[in-house]
Amino acid sequence: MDLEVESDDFVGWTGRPIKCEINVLSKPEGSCIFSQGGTVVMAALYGPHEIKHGKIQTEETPAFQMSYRSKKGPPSNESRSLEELIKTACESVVFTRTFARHELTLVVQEMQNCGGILSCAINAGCLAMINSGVDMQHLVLAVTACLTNDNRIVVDPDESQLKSAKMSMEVAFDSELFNVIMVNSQGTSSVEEYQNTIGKCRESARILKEYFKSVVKKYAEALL
Amino acid sequence: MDLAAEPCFNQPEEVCKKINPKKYLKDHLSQGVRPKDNRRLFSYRSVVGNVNFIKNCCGSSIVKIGSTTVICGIKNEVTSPSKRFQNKGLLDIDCKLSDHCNVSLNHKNRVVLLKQCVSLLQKLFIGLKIVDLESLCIAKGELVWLLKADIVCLDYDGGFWDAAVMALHLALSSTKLPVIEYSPENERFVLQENTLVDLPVGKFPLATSFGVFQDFVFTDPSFEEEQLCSSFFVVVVQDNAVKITQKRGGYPISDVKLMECINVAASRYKIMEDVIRAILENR
Repeated sequence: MDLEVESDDFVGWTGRPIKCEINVLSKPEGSCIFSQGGTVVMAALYGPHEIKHGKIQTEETPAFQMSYRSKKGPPSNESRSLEELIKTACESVVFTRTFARHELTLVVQEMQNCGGILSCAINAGCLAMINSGVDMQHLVLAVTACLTNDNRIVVDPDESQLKSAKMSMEVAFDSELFNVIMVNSQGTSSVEEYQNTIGKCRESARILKEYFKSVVKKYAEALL
Repeated sequence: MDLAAEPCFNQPEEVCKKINPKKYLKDHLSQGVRPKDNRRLFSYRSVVGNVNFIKNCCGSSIVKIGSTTVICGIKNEVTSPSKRFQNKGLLDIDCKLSDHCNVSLNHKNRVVLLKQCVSLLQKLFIGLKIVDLESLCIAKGELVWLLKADIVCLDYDGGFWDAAVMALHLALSSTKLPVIEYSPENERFVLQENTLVDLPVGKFPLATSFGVFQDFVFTDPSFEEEQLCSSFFVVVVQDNAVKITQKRGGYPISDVKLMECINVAASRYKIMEDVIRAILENR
């Protein structure tokens, strides 16, 4: 079943328009294509399947494989760094106990990058997990924000705004207490500005949660 | 050290540590102390440093944080610049763990993350212009300096990222490059070995790493603590300004804790700036 959801049905979002379609691929257990403005990402979740290599699963970390493919060439240090951040952000959401001796594989493919790829990839990963029906503790919601030179905070900026920005950050929150799961920021800002930016991101994450809910509502009609 | 080699089980503390290391750490942290050397949650290990001790490099440094030892050497080469950036020199950063560290592969992939460390250093030193690559240009479009910075960890006891940032900055600050001038009569570039100039380097960036274990957050985790931590948070500050923050690992922390970490990192800057100045003056 294909399903398209556009961002018309949620209000208050100040960023670029969000669109998503879930269940786009037939092979993986869960898949989605997710776009924020011009940034488009496709995510697929495979598993749980049996562990093939001798990777030991501990109580806290489930066996979770992640691969992030960028458009251009072999993975660079930069994209490895992104991969690690996406992996740890998505991994924390999964209930580990239910998958003893099994592993999950998440594949995220960059389709088009117009800024804010990290938050877009995490959101896509989260939607793919929702689609697959894996047990989750909570959702993970990622937001990009930047601080412009005249100290304005822009949530979900586009590429040109990001380039001219004084500071840019990507934050991922959980959907229950809105605690910080992942932060990645670069650029110059004072401590207060930093705190304000995180506050702004949190407000946007709350709206994003409503969006994710609306996505689930659309395809899980039997539950309503 | 003796205890680690030959566990002595007649002491109850040792038994607790072996049987349930998580509870052992948690019990300590809930009292506000750390298992080793009586540190508080937000106290840092002692930092020692020295510069210019490798004579074959144009700049070098050694940094010790607790018993973590990191050396950084910088080698200079002359190359032609890339076509896109004709007036920019090149800075090549590489991180290594030597075999003496005896760090397991699992720990290396989960915690030390050398590639991510290089990516952070590149972002910090090149992206945020601590080293201006244009100052490495000798003649536009013809010759530029290529600096190869190698960071090697000799002894690993946690906090590699902090040490790497500090070592690279010290090494770059101590770098002296010979002058190359164009002589019109010979129609070629001449290297003047005796006149050395300092490389202009921006202000000192201070990296502080935090470990997250269950609901506790503490600075500068040692190797044993790192193994139990579920998440890490690195803050780089420079003069009251937050430069880079990165939290990897999934365990969520609250906003209050996050801001506390950033304030702790910012408050350390004044002290560490004096330390760095003292190290650089003593050369």
